[in-house]
Amino acid sequence: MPEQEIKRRSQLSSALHRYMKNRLAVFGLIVFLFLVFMACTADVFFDYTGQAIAQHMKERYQLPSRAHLFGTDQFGRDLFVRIIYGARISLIVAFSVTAISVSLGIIIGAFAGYCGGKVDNVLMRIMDIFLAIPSMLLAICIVAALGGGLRNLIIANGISHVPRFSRLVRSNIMQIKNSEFVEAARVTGASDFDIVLKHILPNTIGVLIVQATLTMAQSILAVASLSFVGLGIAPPTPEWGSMLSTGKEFMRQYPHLVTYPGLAIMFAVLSFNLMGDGLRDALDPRMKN
Amino acid sequence: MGKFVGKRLLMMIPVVLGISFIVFSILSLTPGDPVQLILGADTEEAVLEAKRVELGLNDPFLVRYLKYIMGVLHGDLGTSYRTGLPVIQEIALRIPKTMVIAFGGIGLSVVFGVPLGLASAIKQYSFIDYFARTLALLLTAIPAFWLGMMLLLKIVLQMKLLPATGANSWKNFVLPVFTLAASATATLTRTTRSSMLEVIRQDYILTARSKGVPENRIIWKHMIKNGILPVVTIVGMNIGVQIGGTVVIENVFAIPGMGAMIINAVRVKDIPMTVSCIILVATVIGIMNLIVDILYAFIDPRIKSQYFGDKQRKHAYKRKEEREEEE
Repeated sequence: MPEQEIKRRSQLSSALHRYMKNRLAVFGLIVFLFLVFMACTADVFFDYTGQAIAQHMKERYQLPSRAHLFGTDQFGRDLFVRIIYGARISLIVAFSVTAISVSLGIIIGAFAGYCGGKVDNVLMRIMDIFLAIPSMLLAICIVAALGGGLRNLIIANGISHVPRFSRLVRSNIMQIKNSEFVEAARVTGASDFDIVLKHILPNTIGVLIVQATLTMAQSILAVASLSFVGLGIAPPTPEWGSMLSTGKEFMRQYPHLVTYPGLAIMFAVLSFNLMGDGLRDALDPRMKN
Repeated sequence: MGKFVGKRLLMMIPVVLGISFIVFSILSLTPGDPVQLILGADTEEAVLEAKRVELGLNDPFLVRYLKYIMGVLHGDLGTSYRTGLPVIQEIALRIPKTMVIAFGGIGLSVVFGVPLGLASAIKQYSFIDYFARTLALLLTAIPAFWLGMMLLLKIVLQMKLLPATGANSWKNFVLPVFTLAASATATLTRTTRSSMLEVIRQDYILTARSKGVPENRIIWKHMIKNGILPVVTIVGMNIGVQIGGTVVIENVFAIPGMGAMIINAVRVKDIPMTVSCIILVATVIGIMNLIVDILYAFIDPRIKSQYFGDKQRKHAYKRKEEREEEE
């Protein structure tokens, strides 16, 4: 198999090259890496319970200054530190939601696309039903049923994104499953499982990566919205949406309370969107416009 | 035409039944007793039990579902656990506000997004193109509720141009509609741009140009007519997203619409209220998607002949399907 290895690597490096030439995509990547770095090293620079949770009533409502870069909130907590810890939650949410929806989507989509016939029909009708409910409303119902908290938010958002992935995987598999290399694999005696796993899925990976990146952006927005309406992560946990929700009361006098968490959401979502667009152009130049 | 519409309406019934079953079971089969949530945790057990009997909560799950769904099929959306009033009454009071916001947002996004995308495709790499693309990037990344808060802060609280709260005059709906339209405008701009760019590269545009067709006529007759289908699709798909989005936006602007009602209902597991709302939303979305599909037919004569009994065409189509099945 060495020849195949070489070919694959060269494809990867040319995709990487195309990505790096896209300035916006590189900007997205830099913002993303910055967020990951801050989320991972937050404990080195800051003290979670001391700075992000504990209340310092003497230092309430301070405007941005050198001591408190983004100012302090209604309990005297440093907004900058809270936003950094919020990045940690948002990234955890983005990755776990996407992991759930991608893996369930692949399983359902692969079964439907590869088996075809009745299995396909039943699975896709169920997906149609889920698609007919706006994902926000579905997530609200699941969160209300399971209760708030990080884990349940992740489950709710993960489930609400499954139909889109399963449709994507299914349509790709249906396109590929009759191509010649799949037939060749079948002739050489590969099992159905092997064919799907080793021959068909690798060919859908590009589309999946792009959709996964965009799903991460959407799940950050969705979790922030759910927390904002009080169905997500409750204070004092420093989640961006719930920070906005508690800051809303005081925004007239202290606009900085709602400005910075919102900007943080915007930059996080922007970085994932830019990376998704960049990856799409890099992995499949035909799709570029 | 009538046959096509009738068939599509019939197909909506199993979908709506499926939705109602899924949401009903999500809310019924998970821990959390609606009666305790409504009356409070420290109410006496006898009172709780009496309420349970009154609401019929002691019946098995399937019996409760069947009772509810039979009611729905007879036009009765049930009685709210929380308020004891017929669900339909409260929905009728609130649904107009939500629909004004949702459809206002969709309309506004079409008015802004389509011309912007068109201009940015026609003048690719010009100032307007960069402007449109940057705007679209920013608007997809900004959370709608935060945009709403910022508008509220600047326009209502600081500049005092519009009234702060309430839902009695049209002035209260200006900001929610703009807020909701923002992200949809972004998607529409992007879709219109890429779809039009694809059309511009086609040979028939070159042909039209070379035979001296005026540019205006090329844009209207050739480009828009050929490139608008994906845009219509996106508008249709946006409807669901928009209605979901109003839930959060109503919260920002304190508008007593369906969003606030769903959140309050879902918190105390008010099953008839929640399921009825979602059935209604799904029906609205289904009907709007049907209208979009009918619109296709008016835009594209090839689709029209598939829908509306052009017999020869239908026959050919059927034969093609049969051939495909044989393979």
